[in-house]
Amino acid sequence: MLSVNHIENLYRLLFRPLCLYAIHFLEDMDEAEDLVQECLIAYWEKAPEVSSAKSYLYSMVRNRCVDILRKNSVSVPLQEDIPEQEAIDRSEEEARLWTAVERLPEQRRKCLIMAKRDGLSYKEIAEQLGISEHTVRNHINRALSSLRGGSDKSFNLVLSFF
Amino acid sequence: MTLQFVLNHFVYGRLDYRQAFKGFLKATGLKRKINWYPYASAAAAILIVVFLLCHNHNSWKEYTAYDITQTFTLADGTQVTLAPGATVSVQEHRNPRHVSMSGQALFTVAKDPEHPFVVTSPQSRIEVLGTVFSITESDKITRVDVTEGHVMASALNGNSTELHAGESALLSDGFWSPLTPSPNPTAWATGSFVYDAVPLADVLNELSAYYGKDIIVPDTDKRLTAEFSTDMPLDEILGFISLALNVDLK
Repeated sequence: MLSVNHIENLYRLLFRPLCLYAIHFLEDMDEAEDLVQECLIAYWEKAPEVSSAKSYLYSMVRNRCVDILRKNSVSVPLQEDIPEQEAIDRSEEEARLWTAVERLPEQRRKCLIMAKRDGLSYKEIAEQLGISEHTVRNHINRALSSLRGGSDKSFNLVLSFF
Repeated sequence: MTLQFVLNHFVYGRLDYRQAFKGFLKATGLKRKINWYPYASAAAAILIVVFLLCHNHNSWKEYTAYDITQTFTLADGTQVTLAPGATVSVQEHRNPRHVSMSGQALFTVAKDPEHPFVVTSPQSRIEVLGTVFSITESDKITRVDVTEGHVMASALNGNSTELHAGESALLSDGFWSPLTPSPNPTAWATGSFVYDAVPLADVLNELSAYYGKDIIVPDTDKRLTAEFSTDMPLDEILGFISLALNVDLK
């Protein structure tokens, strides 16, 4: 039997990227979360001997998503026709960005989401939050630059010459 | 485009693995209850005793790093960093300072002079009081690198060697042999190579071993002070070094 600790690690590492991966197919967060949950439970029940739990789970999620789409006579979205590894990398990058958005200061995050997800204008956001338009613009610019900055692989380099 | 996708779906607090894991425990906990159901007619006290016994017998707790390097804190405060594929097991209730391991692991052992910390692998036994050291264990060999403090390393045949900070040894065919220490034996765990006026040859030998690529070492007595992330491709690191020290690394 797989240890609880093993499973918790799988959740910690894979739950968010797997959900984002499923959202690409299902375009629905609740459905995606449920499906990933079911897959992880199925993985625990079966405890299959596989060399990589990660690739096993990604293909299980993918197969179940495709099944659901077929059942509802929806074709697999065209943009999902990309190599498996590319899709996995993309989901991991998305999970990283999701966490970065979550960690933004509250006001900055609210401004960003209202503008980019809800499509509100700076003026509307300013009114709703009771701050100036200028502040809204600042929040969004800072949020975007910190999100973009984070996506570069960072490294420290201190060189001196002898 | 990736960012826009995330923002389109973003809801604060959602896609939280902790919540999901709670759901998992609930779902599988139900299962356990179902398994116990046939015994429900027995006295509750007996059930509890049985449960405690099982619990004690299976109290090996296992920590495994899957696809990435991971750090765990054991019950006694010792930190263990595991390379992908490495595992340590510990009987937390019975003997919290005795772990068995396989693969590659870095231990930062919590100080407790009364209770030595013992690591056993299929080929060796390492005993320490409070120190930082790493073990790389594979089919035939065990390598021990001590970063701080000192350890007593023994092979299963009883051959033993004492290692101090900065020393490394290799166990092969039941014998320990000292190794020329490399500047960053734990780079795989710390994620960085740190060089403080290290002879270029030592730097290049370490990088060559880490990346598994041959590097021709130029004849020079130049030294390097630099810090690189292990995420960087080797070519990029070599590019910086050749720029910094004005040497040709091809």
